[in-house]
Amino acid sequence: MTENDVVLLEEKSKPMAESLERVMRELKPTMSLTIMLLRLAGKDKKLRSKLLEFIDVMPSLGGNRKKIRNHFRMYMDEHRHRFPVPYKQMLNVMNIPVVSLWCAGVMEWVIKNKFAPHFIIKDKDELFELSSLYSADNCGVMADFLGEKVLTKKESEQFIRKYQEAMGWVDRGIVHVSVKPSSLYPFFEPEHYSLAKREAEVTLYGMFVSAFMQYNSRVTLDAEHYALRDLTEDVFCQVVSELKISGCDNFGIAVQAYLKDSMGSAERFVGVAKKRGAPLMVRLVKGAYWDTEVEIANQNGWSVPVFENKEETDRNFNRIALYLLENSDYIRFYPATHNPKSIAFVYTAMNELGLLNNNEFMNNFAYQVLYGLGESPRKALAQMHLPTLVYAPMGNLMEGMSYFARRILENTSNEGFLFTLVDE
Amino acid sequence: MSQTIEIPDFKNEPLFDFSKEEIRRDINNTLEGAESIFGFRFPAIISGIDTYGVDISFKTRNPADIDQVIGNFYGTTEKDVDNAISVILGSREVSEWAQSSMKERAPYLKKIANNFREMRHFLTALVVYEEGKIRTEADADVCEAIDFLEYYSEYGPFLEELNNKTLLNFPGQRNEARYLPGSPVPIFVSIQPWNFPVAISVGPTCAALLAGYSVIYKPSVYSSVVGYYIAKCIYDSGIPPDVFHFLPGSGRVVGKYLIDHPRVTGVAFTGSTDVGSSIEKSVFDFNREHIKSLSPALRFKKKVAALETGGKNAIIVDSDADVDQAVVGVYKSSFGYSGQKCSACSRLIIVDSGTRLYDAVLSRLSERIADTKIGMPKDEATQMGPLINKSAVNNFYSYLNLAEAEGGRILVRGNVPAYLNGYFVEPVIVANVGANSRFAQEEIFAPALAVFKVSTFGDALMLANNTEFGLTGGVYSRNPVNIQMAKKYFNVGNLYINQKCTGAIVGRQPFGGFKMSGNGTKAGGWDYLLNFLYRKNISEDTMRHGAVLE
Repeated sequence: MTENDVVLLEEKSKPMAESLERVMRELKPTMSLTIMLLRLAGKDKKLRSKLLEFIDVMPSLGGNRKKIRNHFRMYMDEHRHRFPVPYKQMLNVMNIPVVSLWCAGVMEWVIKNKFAPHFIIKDKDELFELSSLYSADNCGVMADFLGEKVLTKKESEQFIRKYQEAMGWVDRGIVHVSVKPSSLYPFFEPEHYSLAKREAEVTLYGMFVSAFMQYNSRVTLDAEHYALRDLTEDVFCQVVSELKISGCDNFGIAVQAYLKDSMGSAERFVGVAKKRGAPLMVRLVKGAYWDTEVEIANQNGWSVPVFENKEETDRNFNRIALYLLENSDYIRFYPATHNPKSIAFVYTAMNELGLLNNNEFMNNFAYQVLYGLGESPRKALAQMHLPTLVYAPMGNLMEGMSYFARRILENTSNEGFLFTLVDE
Repeated sequence: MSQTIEIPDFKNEPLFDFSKEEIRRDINNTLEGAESIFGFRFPAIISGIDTYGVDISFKTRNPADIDQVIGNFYGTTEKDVDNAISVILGSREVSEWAQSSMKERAPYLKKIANNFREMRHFLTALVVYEEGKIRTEADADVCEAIDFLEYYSEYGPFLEELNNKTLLNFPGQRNEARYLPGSPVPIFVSIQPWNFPVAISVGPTCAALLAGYSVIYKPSVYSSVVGYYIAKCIYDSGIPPDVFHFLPGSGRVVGKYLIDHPRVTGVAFTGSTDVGSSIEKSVFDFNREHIKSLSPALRFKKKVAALETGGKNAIIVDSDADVDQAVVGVYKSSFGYSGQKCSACSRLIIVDSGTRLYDAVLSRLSERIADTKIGMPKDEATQMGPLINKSAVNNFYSYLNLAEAEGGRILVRGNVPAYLNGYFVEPVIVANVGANSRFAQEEIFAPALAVFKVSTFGDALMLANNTEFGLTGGVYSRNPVNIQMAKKYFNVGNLYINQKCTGAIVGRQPFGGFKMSGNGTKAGGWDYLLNFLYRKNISEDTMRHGAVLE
């Protein structure tokens, strides 16, 4: 594979990308309160941060209407003038005692029942419903558990129990489970590398063994912050190298294309898969912590690990996608993107490599989209009879807050560039 | 006519990124190799010349392994102090150093900073062994020292320039400002602690050098090997040897003698509030009694003291706080380096008006402490190391007994593995102690956290301020009105909102407290240098019979 191959394939995939984009626009969700709010917040950074602040604090107020009203007032008061006139009038309502309490109740209800459900699944029943709903479209579901930060061993054990339970949902159509590295051990941090690695390896090993032996579930280790990247990969590679069972392709890991050195990760996984003699799953994402990575690097005086513009990330995504497809004997590929260009690139590359007619390959391939946000690409891909897999984050509002905030950030900022709901 | 002046472009020394394999490998190698240099004899250094006495009077030990001797020292005596001071008094270098400008002295600080950079791994390892810090904490200590050097070397000359550029000048009248150390033979004594053996030693010592003083540096008897290598880095910058002297020894003997010495013009001290107060008193008495007896040529305005002492710092967790963030922040603030930081949080105040926040925070915090791996600081796996010495251990247990006698309830005790042969203690959280009890009022300097439940944020602030100290404070809140209230009324020198209350960074969080926590100095801020400087203004009439001299 050369850089030229990537450019040529990008060129080749353009017509498909354009038509896909048209189809996706037609399939776009109808205008909702959520989208209206996101649009409004996307236009004004200060307002967006106040909105985030408000949503962020909401679950900790325990449904106390008076507190919700007071916090709303405190956050919004200094930004009153930013709102268009009709909204401003609405805000004045918040000064009338009884009405304001009622409004606070409505706001909480809207966030909990309208806003959050756009991004998050409440419980496993909803997940099962979703799974059976999607199955007609050749669309699977990957269970992901939201949660507060794992700070103690007890909290880690709770997470592991959830993963174990989810592995048993294969017969409910839920084959894929996503595992957060930081939930494997409460001190999963590079400062205590060897300890974190040892502890996480033991936990992950146990989980992978039961995923394979007991349930035949497919488990993918998620990607979090860059600081945890090497640790996560070391843990993963060590565990899968120990589990050299022929035909065992149940284990996967995510690669974040926005990292400048992510091609190295892809190469590493191909190498490990070759060595162990059984394929690995790779979930290729663009990356969801862009703002944080830039801030952490700047604060510490370290070099910024992520590409600083979208084009480079998209190009790197394609580069890695092509590389992984070329190594399809060793890698089960799951590209996670909503971008029609990237989707089209992957399709074109598969076509070039003759993989579209390769049943063995296609049975282990799916485009990944996010629950809620990825409805239009999901439907568009279903129309083309291409397999999809919906990443379905599950939890209550408190547990889902950091995920929720990340998604709002992405969908309202110019720099955040992974998935866009309001794709204009 | 407006003049421009450029604000120095200062950048903090980047900490080691331990997620990088090569950095972990280098540190591991250095930690393994460092042990080979332990157990040697180390000298005092006067004017760059090693000085050995007859007896070995003290040893420094690895607090995590008390059989491991790090260094043997000849403890200096009053006689050595007199020797060093007589060298200073008779040296031309010393008066030239005092008369030069900060712009001329600053390059030496830059060179010292580079020497630290070259020795960075080794110094980090040394701090791990001699002080029992885990590697991340040791690294932060070394980086902070480099930061002090870079920062002061930038801001000293900047202040000189600022002073001159802001003076009004007219044709025929030339006005000039100089910053001087306030005496023809200015001597600063820098007596520094073991808990940040590199940063807190280097900061005041080098600020005084930059300000034109000759400095006698006495490290703690628990960090004298680190002190020796700091002295090496300073001499290796090519600084005139007569302006710097390294006198390791006991605080009670040589420290006290240095402070009271009539030729000494300034004292920089970081340590306990008791010693700090006694220094303040002795400096005051000295200024009143002895100054008249000095010969006019040696007379200076007065002896000064730059003090940074204790804390009994509180973190408030408000009812709407992000619990994840608060638990992690309190954990780091209270138990980092086993609580042996003047900035450490030793009082946790939780605002709980029936929302069970108190239980939620404490159960998670307690479990995290129980899960913490206590062990040898040199091991990468270790999260918490030992206390510094036997008396620190005794002190910890006596406060624990006191807390129980005062009605306190121990919520959690960490786990110390039995095989360890060092000054290890179990970190504790204690509830039910009175706000005015000794446990809640006195600095323990150990991993001992007192917790309180209050029902309003206002009560929390009152409780937080109910202390004779005022160093750091923390607030975890998402309530803008409460945050504003804390900004106004939380009576501390360093307030941290939604972040941990330790780990002040040079140039970002100039560090120093109110009340009994110090005398107002702010280490790592440009105004810190003013503690060492007197401003001399010179106005010259350059008009001769109507002609303006150029």
